[in-house]
Amino acid sequence: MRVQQTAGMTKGTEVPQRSADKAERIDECRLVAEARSGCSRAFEELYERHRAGIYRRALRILRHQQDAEDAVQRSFQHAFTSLHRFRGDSTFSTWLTRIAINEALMLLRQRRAITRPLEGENDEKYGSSALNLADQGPTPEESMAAKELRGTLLEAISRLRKSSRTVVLLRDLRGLTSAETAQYLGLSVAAVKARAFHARRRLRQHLERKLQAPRRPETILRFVALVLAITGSGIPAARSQENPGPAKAVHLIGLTGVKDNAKGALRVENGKIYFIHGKTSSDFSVTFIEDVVTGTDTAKAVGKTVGMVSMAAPYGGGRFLSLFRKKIDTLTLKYRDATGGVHGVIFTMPAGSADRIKEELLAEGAHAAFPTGLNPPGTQGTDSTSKEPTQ
Amino acid sequence: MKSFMIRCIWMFASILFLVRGPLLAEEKNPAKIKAAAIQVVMVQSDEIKLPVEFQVALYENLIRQLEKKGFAHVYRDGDPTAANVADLVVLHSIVRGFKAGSERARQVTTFAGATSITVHCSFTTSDGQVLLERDVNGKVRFFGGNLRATHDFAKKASQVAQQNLSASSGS
Repeated sequence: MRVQQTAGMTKGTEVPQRSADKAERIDECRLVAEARSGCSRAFEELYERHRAGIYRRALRILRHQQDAEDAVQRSFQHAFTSLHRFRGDSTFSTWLTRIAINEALMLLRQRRAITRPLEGENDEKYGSSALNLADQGPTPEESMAAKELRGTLLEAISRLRKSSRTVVLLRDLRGLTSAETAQYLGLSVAAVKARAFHARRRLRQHLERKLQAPRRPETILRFVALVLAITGSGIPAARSQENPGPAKAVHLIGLTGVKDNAKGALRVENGKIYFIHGKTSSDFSVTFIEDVVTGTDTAKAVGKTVGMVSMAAPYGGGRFLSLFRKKIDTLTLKYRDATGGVHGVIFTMPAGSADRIKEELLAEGAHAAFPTGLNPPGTQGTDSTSKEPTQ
Repeated sequence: MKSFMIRCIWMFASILFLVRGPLLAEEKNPAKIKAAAIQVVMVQSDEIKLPVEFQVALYENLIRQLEKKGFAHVYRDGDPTAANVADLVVLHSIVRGFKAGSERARQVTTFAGATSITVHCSFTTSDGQVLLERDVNGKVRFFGGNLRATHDFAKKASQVAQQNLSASSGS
């Protein structure tokens, strides 16, 4: 574009233009250097300079405004985390544009994978009629086997030592390279490779033991129970017999007389829900509850998980901690007080606890817009890909 | 002659100053809507897919902030006692825009991933006559969880209420 512009200029105006370009390049090099050294303002300046161009480029590939915005965000995130790998062989904008193109193409691939055409020019691939479509998914046996394997693998990973587990999670699940993992953990690359080697060996041993051992009936039962526990598809009646007791919870907002972010325990007993914090306890009748919504329900209704609260990140360690944040679940209750006024309460708790509390509440007579196991109206399942509307 | 002209100008200027003073004062303090009590209706989001947590947090934060701003009687949605109150103002809120953002993106980049909510607030009488309408924004740009956007919105909405409603209780 710039070549076209300068081609039309006279020689007299070319010189100041070139010097301006040179000054701009020097300024950009300075900004990149500052951003590399951790100056967020410098990166912010780079973001402001290149945002519009990157957006246009992404939009040209994706032809979808929201996807283009996503691509821009991902590109800058990627650029920020990989800035140390920018060698300076090309200009920063060239490097950034390449990242943006890759991100946009990746989004395009994802979008194609999601929207498989049922009718039209590709009909012959799937048979002459839509009614003749064969189920391309796995059989029940295959999905059960996959679930079993996943459960065993999760158990094996959780049994690893913390140091090895972190390496496995970063390298194999997050897809970081050894060098990136080493940088995050403050280790040498050799140490990371050694930990990964030992972790893999332990995983292999554990999996071989689990999957090849002769299975006696009680071993099989225990194994099935383990898989059900991990995948969260246990039988409700069996669970209620276990009586797991109160769940750890943090009160975010809504309960009168209880401070925001108060830690405590949530218990359902004798038709009442109790939030015990310190020496005091707040409670209200379960029958007054008009709606119980867990984080899982929200994810189904909205189409994706919307994080709400953060773990405390002291000493500016948010960037680091965000990678190791524990998964939390939310429980939102809408209830009426004695006068009929509507109240709302939000709790956060460890992942999985909210669904258990919801089951207990429903068993005690609480109401819910979408009971456990059912999808909220307007959705087709947990794999809903509807995007959130933006402003 | 010259001194007479100067006197005239001075007199004209002083008259202007005397007349304009009270007018400016009136502009600064426009007549507020009388509101003995305010009732907050649960936030609606029919067009926008808003997580229930956000809906509840908007509602609860709004009530809390209105109480903080000095409204002596803040009634909740569905409270039948509000029906008997004279000069009751009902606050209806409809979510017009929501961008979920990402706290992780904010932590990593410090500039991307802002969460924002736009809510259309309309203050009406108990029989539905609209008194005031405003679009209020809630945002969290840098630090904190996504839910902080609801707190930001509630603060701004209660400020709008404070500026336009006379919180002195008539009951």
